[in-house]
Parts: sequence; C-alpha cells; structure tokens
Amino acid sequence: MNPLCLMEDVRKTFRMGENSVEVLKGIDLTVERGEIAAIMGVSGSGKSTLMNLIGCLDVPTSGRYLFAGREVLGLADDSLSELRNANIGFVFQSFYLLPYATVLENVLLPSLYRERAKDGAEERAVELLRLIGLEERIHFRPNRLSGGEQQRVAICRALMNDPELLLADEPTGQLDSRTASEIMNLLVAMNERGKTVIIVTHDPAIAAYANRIIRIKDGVIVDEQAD
Amino acid sequence: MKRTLLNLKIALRSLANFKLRTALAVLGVFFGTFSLIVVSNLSSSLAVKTAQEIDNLGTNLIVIVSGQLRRFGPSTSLISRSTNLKPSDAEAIAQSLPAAAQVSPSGFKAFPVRRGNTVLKAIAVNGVTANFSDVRNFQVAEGSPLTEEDDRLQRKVALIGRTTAEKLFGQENPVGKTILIWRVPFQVIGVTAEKGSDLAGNDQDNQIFVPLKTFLRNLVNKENVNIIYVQAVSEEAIGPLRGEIEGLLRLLHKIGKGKKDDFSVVDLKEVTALKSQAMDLITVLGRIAAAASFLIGALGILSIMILIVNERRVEIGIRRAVGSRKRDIVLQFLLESSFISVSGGAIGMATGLMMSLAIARILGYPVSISVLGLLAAFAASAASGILAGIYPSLKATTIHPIDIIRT
Ligand SMILES: Nc1ncnc2c1ncn2[C@@H]1O[C@H](COP(=O)(O)OP(=O)(O)OP(=O)(O)O)[C@@H](O)[C@H]1O
Ligand SMILES: [Mg+2]
Repeated sequence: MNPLCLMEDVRKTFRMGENSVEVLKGIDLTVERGEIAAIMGVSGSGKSTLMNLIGCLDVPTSGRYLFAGREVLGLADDSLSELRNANIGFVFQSFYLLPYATVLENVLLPSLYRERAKDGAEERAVELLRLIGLEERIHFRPNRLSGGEQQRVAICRALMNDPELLLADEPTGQLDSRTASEIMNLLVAMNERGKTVIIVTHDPAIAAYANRIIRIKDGVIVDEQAD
Repeated sequence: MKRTLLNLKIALRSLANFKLRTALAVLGVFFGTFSLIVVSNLSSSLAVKTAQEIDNLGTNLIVIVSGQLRRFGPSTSLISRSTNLKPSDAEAIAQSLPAAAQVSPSGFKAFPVRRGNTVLKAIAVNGVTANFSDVRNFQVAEGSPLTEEDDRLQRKVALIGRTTAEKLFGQENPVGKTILIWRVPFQVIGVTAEKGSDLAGNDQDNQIFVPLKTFLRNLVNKENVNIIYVQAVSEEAIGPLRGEIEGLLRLLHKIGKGKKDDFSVVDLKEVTALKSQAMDLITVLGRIAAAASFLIGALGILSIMILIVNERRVEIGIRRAVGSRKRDIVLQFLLESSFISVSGGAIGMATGLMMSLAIARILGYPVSISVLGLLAAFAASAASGILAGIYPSLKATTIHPIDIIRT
C-alpha cells in the first residue's frame, strides 16, 4: 500500500510585493497510514506552512506531493475542496467554531459539503459528541463552552466525515496543561482507532504523545526520530 | 434542501446583529413591491371597470349631442347650445348610412315626480325610442319594455329605474301604478335592470324613460332632441361612420364651409381612453417609484452583504477548509441576499394586495388582482437580492483559509 502522504523536494515560496520568501526549501517527507507524528520547530520555521501543504489547504510552489497516491500539484480548487472534505480533518489552535451555529451545527458543517448526502449525518454528529462527553451541550453556542470543550467540538467537526488524516496545528496552544493532556489523549485515542494524526507543536510535552517527531528548521527537515 | 435550510438558519442568526441595517434594506424592497402591486392591481381594476362601462353604455356606440363640446383633459363640457338636433336627423342617418345599425334619438330633462304623497324633486326623465334598450343596453327587469306603438300613439307610459322605483314605491310592485311627471300622469309599465353608476358617477338606476313623442309633446313641448345614439355595425365601422354622420348633419343643418358645427360627434371609447390615460400616468409614476425603491433596496442589501461577508471571514475560511467549493460559498451568499430581499418583497406583496383591495373598495372599482403584477413584483424583489449579492459573494470566494488561520 502506498503511503498516505509522500513529499519529494517540496518548496514553497511566498511572494510579498516585489520580493519573495522561500519558506520551505526542499522537504522530503513520508507519512504512513496509522502514524501519529509531531512536527516541531521554532516559531517561523515553516511548521504551519508545511501543515497547510499536507492538508491541501495550499499547494507547493514546486516538488511532488502525493496524497493517498494522488498528485496534488495541479489539482483544481474544487478538487482540492473535495479532497479535504472527504479525507482530512483540521484542528486549529483557536478552535474556529462558527459563533452563530450551535455545537451540533458546527460538527455537522463538513457533512454539508459532502459529494453525496448521507443519511444519518445528524445521528453521527450526536454520537461523536456523546463519545467526548458533550451530548448535554449540543444546542449551546460555542461562546458558552470552555476552551477545552470548544476544542473537543472542533475535533468532532474534524472527525465528522470520517477522514483518514487528522491535522492539528498547535491544538493545545490556548489550553492549560490539564486540558491539553485531555485533548492529546483524545487525539491518541483517535489514532488508536485508525486515524493518521499529525500534530504541529513547539512543546516537547505535547510532542511526547507522538510516536515520531519531525523537526524542521529554516524550511528543511533537520532530523527525524522515532520513539 | 436540508443543508440549505441549515445554512440559512445560521445566516439569520448572524443577521440579527444588524437588525436596523437589515430592516432598512428590507424596507426598500418592501416599498418597491408594494407600489408595483398597488399600481398594477389598480390599473387592472380600472381596465375591468372601463370595459364594464363601455359594455354598459352599449357596444360600438357613437353619440351625437346638440351644440359644441369642448374637451379639456378628461372632462368635457358643452360650450354652446343648439336646438337644431331633430328626430328627423336620426331618421336620415338610419336611412342613408348603412354603417349605422341602429339610431336612437333621445331628449332628457329633470322633472319633479310624484306618487301619492311622495315627491321627488328632480328626476332625469328621458324621451326614448323603442330601440334604446338595445342601443344603450338597458334591459327590463320587471314588466314590459317600451314599444314603437307606445311612441307612435304617444302613450303616457313609463319605464323607471330601480332606485326611482324604491324611492317611489318602496317594496311595492310599481308595474301598473300611476305616477305624476310634472303634471302629467304616466302609467309605470316596467322597471329597468340595475346598471350602477356611469363614468361620471351618476346613478343610472335613478331615472325614468318615456316614449320620445310623449316626452316632446306632453312634457317639454319642443321639436328637438338632446342626443342621438348611433350603434355602428362593427367596431371598425365607428371611425368612418363618424365622418359620414358629420357630413350628413352639416348638409341637413345647412352649415357652410368654414362654419362651426352645431353638434358634436363623440366616440365613447375616446372618453374612456382619456380616463385610462390618467391611469397610465399613475402607473408610470408608480413604476418609477417602484424602480427607485428596488434600487435603494438593492443598494441597502449590497452594503449589508459586504458587511456580513467581512464579519464572517472566519466562517468562510473554515467552510472552505472543511471542503466547501467556491460555488458553494457564492450560492450561500446569493441565497442569503435573495432571502433578505424576497422576505421584504413578500411583506410588500401582502400589504400591497391589502392596500389595492382597500383602494378598489373606496373607489367602487371591481377587484382585479393582476397576476402579472404579482409575478413582476416577486421577480423584481428576487432579482434585486440576487444582483446585490453578486459582488459580495464573489468577494467572499477570495477569502482563503490559510489567510484566516494565520491570524
Ligand atoms: N501567506 C504567507 N505570505 C507571506 N509569508 C508567509 C505566509 N505564510 C507564512 N509566511 C512566512 O513564512 C514563515 C513561516 O511561517 P509559518 O507560519 O509556517 O511558521 P510556524 O513555524 O508555523 O511559526 P509559529 O510557530 O509561529 O506558528 C514566516 O516567516 C511567515 O512570515
Ligand atoms: Mg504556526
């Protein structure tokens, strides 16, 4: 079976007016199915940029990126949307729940854009929320939830379409250490259920939950180690 | 569908943050549909009313009045009188102009009418020929019509209108009873069918018809009539027939070249046309007002949609991240903007309908709902929402998730 993500000499350049900055300078990376990996590096090293490329939110300037065997470079915007919708779930540092939608509606969001509407989307959303212990809050607005609860809702949203890959960019950045470990345990549990999980962090305690650490410095992977 | 409703629900909650602005935007569309509906229903009511009145007057009717008419806008007035119009003119028209199907000369004057102790001070009394019920479309509801024999023998018989009958007789059956017109006793032989009011608003059921000869000899003691009704054989014949009548009457009345006529020929369609011209003007003004309102509404919706798109940048970025395509975003915001405008339009349509019903009632017009007007109002409100939503929704697609999650 081919790896879930395969990057070869991936580069990313941002154009800022007249000058351009090369943020990623040749990334070679393989992520196998079922892995739980952490991307580490100092601020500005290009972690989030790499993560956006892995998640098909953005496309490389050059290089090769195969997601589940499929070439991402050159895909049309609509195809990228469909690929994200079906295969990738995102968790962000600042949760990014829709303030005007209820907890349940937030979790349902990815199902609204599924190619084929599936019956039972709502049942699945409720079931996910029940699993993480928020079934009492399904009709709340996000602003009535604590940070940890909001991040759990965001994880449910990421899981809604049953994606293969979960991407979390500093998922615990706004949480205290106890809540952070709850969230990490949840991500590990999802990994144990078969999801591939990639976490961006600069906190070694968080990275310790992963079974592989990818270190990035100045746009290149400097050192890969497995636990 | 379920998905669309869910998105709309979320959008409505975010709209609640801009209640005043939304209300103002909705108000524009509201006024637009309101005036469109009112104007289109009124003009369609008027069209029905006019058709009814023309029918009431008699089909393909040309009217010859003695003296000269001056027309000023929609109103006409007699500026000179003449006693030259005679029953013999009517006979000449009937005999020499084949386009004239029926000719009915008629005189009228107001007389006091009495029955027992009931006195009506001034009731219009018409001297008419037997064919007038055909020409003027007056049917007899009870009793019998006037006949040629009644006219020839100068019988003192009368047909009375429903209103007059009620005033004089109450619930009693007037047929066979005697009334005094001025000082002359007449026997009531029938009651005309109800016609309502004419173009000028006069109650056509409050008048009396007697044989023309009786009228001329026994009531006014004159030789001349006030009016000759001519029914043309067809609608197309009306125009040429008018000219023929004018020529014939000038000849009979010995009016030399360059001299003014002592009569006027009126096509009744022209009179009603003048009235609908006034309505056309109102319609045009109403449409301009509607267009202006829609424009204001659309601009209001445009501004609020720009605001909404800005306010919901994060939402848009996240929707894109979880897999919405650009066209899903465009569709969502077009739907929101047209929802705003169509809800304003729906309120405008409902109140416009009620308003036009009320106006029709007050003016005594028949109620006629213009389906075309309803469709146009709906289309215009939907269109102003969609048009106003195009720019903001396209702008929304330029929001990229990576720009959102970087901040
Ligand atoms: N869209 C963009 N346009 C221009 N420059 C960008 C863009 N995205 C990232 N950069 C630049 O690329 C570099 C790497 O950014 P990135 O967000 O990947 O860093 P990071 O490792 O995630 O940092 P942090 O730990 O602070 O989140 C930074 O210098 C940033 O300014
Ligand atoms: Mg980052």
